Amino acid sequence: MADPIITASGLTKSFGATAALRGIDLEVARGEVVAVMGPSGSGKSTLIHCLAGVLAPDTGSVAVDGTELTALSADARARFRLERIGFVFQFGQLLPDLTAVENVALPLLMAGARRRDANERSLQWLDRLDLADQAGKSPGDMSGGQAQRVAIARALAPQPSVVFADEPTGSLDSVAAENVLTAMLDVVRESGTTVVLITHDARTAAHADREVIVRDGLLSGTAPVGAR
Amino acid sequence: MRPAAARLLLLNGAPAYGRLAGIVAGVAAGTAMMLVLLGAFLHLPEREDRVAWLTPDGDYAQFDASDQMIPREPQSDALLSATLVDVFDGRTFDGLALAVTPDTTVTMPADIAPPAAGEYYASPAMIELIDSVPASQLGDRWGTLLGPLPDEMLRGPSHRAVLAGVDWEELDTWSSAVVQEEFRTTGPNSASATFRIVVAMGAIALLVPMVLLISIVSALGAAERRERLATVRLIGAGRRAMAILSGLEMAVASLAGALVGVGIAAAVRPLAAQLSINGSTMTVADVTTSPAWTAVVVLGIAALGAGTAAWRAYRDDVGALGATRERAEKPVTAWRTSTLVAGIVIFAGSTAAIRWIPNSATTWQYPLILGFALIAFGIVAAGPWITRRTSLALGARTSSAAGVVAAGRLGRHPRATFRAVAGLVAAVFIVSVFAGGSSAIAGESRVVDAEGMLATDTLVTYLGDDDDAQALAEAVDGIEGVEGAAVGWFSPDATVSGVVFAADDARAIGAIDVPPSGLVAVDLFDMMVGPELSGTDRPGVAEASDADPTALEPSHLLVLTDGSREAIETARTAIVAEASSSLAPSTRVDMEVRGAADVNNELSVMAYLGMGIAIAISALALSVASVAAMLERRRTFGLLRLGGMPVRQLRQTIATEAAVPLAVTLLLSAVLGFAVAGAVLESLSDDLSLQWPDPRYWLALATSLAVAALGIVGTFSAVRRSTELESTRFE
Amino acid sequence: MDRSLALLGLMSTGPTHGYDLKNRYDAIFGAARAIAYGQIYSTLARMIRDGLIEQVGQEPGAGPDRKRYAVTSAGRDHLAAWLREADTPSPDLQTNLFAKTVLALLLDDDADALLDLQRRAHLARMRELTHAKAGAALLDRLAIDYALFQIEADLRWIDLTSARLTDIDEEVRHHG
Ligand SMILES: Nc1ncnc2c1ncn2[C@@H]1O[C@H](COP(=O)(O)OP(=O)(O)OP(=O)(O)O)[C@@H](O)[C@H]1O
Ligand SMILES: [Mg+2]
Repeated sequence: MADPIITASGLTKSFGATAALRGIDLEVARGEVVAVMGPSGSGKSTLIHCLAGVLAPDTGSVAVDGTELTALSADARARFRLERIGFVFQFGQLLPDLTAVENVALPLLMAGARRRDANERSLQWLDRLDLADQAGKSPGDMSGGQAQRVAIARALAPQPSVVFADEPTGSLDSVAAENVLTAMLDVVRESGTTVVLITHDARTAAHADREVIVRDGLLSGTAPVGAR
Repeated sequence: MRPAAARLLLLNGAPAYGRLAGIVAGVAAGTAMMLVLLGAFLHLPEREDRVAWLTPDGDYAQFDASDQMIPREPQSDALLSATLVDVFDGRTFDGLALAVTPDTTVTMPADIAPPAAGEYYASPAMIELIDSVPASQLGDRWGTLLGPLPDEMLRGPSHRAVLAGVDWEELDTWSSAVVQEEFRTTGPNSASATFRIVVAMGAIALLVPMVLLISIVSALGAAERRERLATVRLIGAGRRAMAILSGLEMAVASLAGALVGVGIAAAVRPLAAQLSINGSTMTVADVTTSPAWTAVVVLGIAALGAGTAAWRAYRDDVGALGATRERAEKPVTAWRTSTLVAGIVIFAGSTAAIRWIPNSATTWQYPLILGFALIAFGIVAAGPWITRRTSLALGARTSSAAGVVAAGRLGRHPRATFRAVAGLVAAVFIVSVFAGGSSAIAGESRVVDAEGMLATDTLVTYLGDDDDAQALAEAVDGIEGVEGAAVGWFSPDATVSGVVFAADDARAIGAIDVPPSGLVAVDLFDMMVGPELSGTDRPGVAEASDADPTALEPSHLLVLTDGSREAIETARTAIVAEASSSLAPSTRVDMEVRGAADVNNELSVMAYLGMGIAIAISALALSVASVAAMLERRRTFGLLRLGGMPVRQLRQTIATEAAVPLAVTLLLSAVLGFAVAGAVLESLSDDLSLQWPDPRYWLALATSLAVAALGIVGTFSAVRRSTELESTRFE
Repeated sequence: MDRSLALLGLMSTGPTHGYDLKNRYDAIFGAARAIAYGQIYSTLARMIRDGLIEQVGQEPGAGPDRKRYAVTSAGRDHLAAWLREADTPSPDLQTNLFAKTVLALLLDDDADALLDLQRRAHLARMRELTHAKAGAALLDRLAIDYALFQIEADLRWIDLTSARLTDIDEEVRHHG
């Protein structure tokens, strides 16, 4: 691959007796949108958590944007996530006590932005996702689709290198899902951000540049680490 | 709903049992405290009645046209008595001088015989003291010991009192002696009103943190519980059913707690009775409530618990059925300050009434206590509103992520966040009240030797009409440690005020600017109280007329000692045994002691004991609340860490969430506490005023803050552990 | 579904004769419509002509159902190529893919891989359509959405099948 932004090789991860990942090699090109598919419990979430430096794999290595994550301490990985990585989950990721604009501003403030700048940039991002009128609302008072778009704005606002999304439209109906997804991908394609997107939904996956299928902790068609 | 379903619903798993156990324990401790304090409150008047005999109430002597006292004839159906003011080694004790005829028909409590002249009764604590020193220092003051005073005549085991028999004719000459028909067994109870107010305030002071602790414990696992209740409502339980169920649960838990509390109260009573109130420890009976009162308290607590729980469950709209989103609290409004305002108004009103309407303390004590209670609870009620106001200001200004998260939480959950620190805020209020109160004592000046002042080891005796000054002076002369005696006379010249001494004697007792010889008039009052109180620059000495000393009437006998206890007490005993006065000879130090010191000292013991308990309970409440709050927000914190928030910033968030409500309400409660103390002192006592608090107060404040800091820091290690990304799942 | 390929697949497990072949075919694929003897024999004859199978002997007695047939290596290659080839979306797809899956299981081939192959092909097609949709007029987009839903339905069936492969395997072996 010409310019891989994510390079993972030989990833394994077990939780007690459960082998969630059994040897995964994966490269993702800069600016690529990759869909991760596979049955429930196959290890998709575990995979992106390893790629994002949330979990440390048992064996194998992950490099994101030139940084070898497996060599970093937990705190250094937290710092790395703050600066380079955005997350979107299925639901419930917004802080219920904060307004939309505060939620979006939060990662900017964590990274040391001034309050005024952070607010301004957050409002811009909300506007890009068609949420200007929701800025002062709290997540509890929004629809699921609106809340997801706020979550996307929050993930994108710090301009990360990679956005990881775990079923970002999983709790929405097909129309809302489509809207949320296109809103996200439009912005992402424009800025050249890399996206790794877990989905069960083929129509969602069809928006990606390519898909990888995870089955039993392996990418489909590959053998476990020990059996190579 | 069937019992099985109810059990499934309410007693689901270890946390539910932990919660119930917490409620039972909290209610038990609260009940025990309440029973003991209520017992003391109820028995105080009765206790004061027991010692009514110490303050005789009868007819003073009449004077004839030439200002001569008309002697009172001995009567067999009356008694003549006078309060004894006496002191030993710096500690005052109560006493009564009593005279009856040999054929008296007057009866005494517990059927003891009235003491004849030269005989006395003493309380057990007094007998112990008498026996511990040579008779010449104490026991000889009143003659022969007849036996102990019965319990019916004492405040409690440590009460020191004597009842001394005196010859009727001699006692008749005492200006303070009164004739009574019978031995007094009920008093006016004005003394007990003050102490009742203090006890009631103490009870309220301790109950506030206790109630808070119980409410914190019962809110444990609220989120998870609310989810379960929502599910149960979803499958068909009505609001009423839920209310009844919650009420029953709480009724059983608080009834169990209250019953355990009755047991605890019985166990701690002997300990509580050791507390000194108004000059003595108490008997166990003095802090015991009657079975009827006990039943009222137990049932009242159970009913209150059940009622509140049922009402809460009924009111608590679980939201869209089945929805389990975290919901914001109902907004708090400025109405929350109404209790506080009402409390301040009532309190201020009743202190003013007590101050300006004479003898009204007995009636106005109840609104006063009510006002105090309203203020104490009012601070706690207003806390969430203040917290919310502050968080809005903070949220708009802060530039740190921790600040924004904390402000969001404080703004949307002001009740929950304030509840964590409420106990401490209430404790600080109480501490400030008591510190303010006891500052009045701490502020009193120490008695020290100074130029121009009477030496602290000099005994001053006020001589009665019949006393032979010369004989008394000789009586003390041979005592070891006595360095001399000086007789003072009434000034023969109306234009010269002061006590007249021979110049040498004046110099000996410490007067300055004394002429070489002759008679001088010394302002003895100035020399005793010092220039600050008397208002003069320095004790003055005036030259008195050259009259013949032997023609003057003696007024004072001053005995100079080496300051040793033996010398002072032996001299005092010698004079008391001879002289006819209700006022025992005393040094400047003794005079100070006769002020409010004893009473105030026990007030401050009670105050600091109260503080200790309040702070301990609050510390417990704060740590329980912090840990609970953190566990409930595991997911939020996990998300923040996932997004890259450093653990340090998470800790800042938690610290901010506790520090903001604490900081703003702490100041308020300290100021209010001092104001309340000032008002109480103003209205209840004439000679005490508010002072800058002593170091113990700052120590208590520092302890509170340290306790708060510890409670918060204690959760820090849990922050990292409980938000560990391995243990939180995000989908 | 191409019945000849299904028969070819069934014969790949070992030499067999016409009567046995019909029974097995009906048990596994005959849910909708049983196959007639006549069709079996005409298909066998055509496959012999094309060199995909050969006769390997005759059991005692007379009649066409006494002859035994086996798959030639050319036949095996033909079958493998078919199994490894993804179908384009069409109404026939389900029966075809079903046959392929069952045969793959029977032949101990990788049925998962086969389904993944199909999934990828479908997703590629959906991607094309999604891409086209972005620039299309509204009415065209409706048409494209229809096509997308059709393919999605296939994919869902594939997901379901792949989730149940173990059960299907047991069932097939029971009849095979
Ligand atoms: N923290 C954990 N502790 C124990 N087991 C875990 C943990 N996280 C994941 N697992 C296990 O690892 C396996 C893979 O889980 P993972 O969440 O990655 O699946 P997934 O592909 O994301 O599933 P889904 O599509 O249902 O979200 C599962 O068997 C799961 O039970
Ligand atoms: Mg998952």
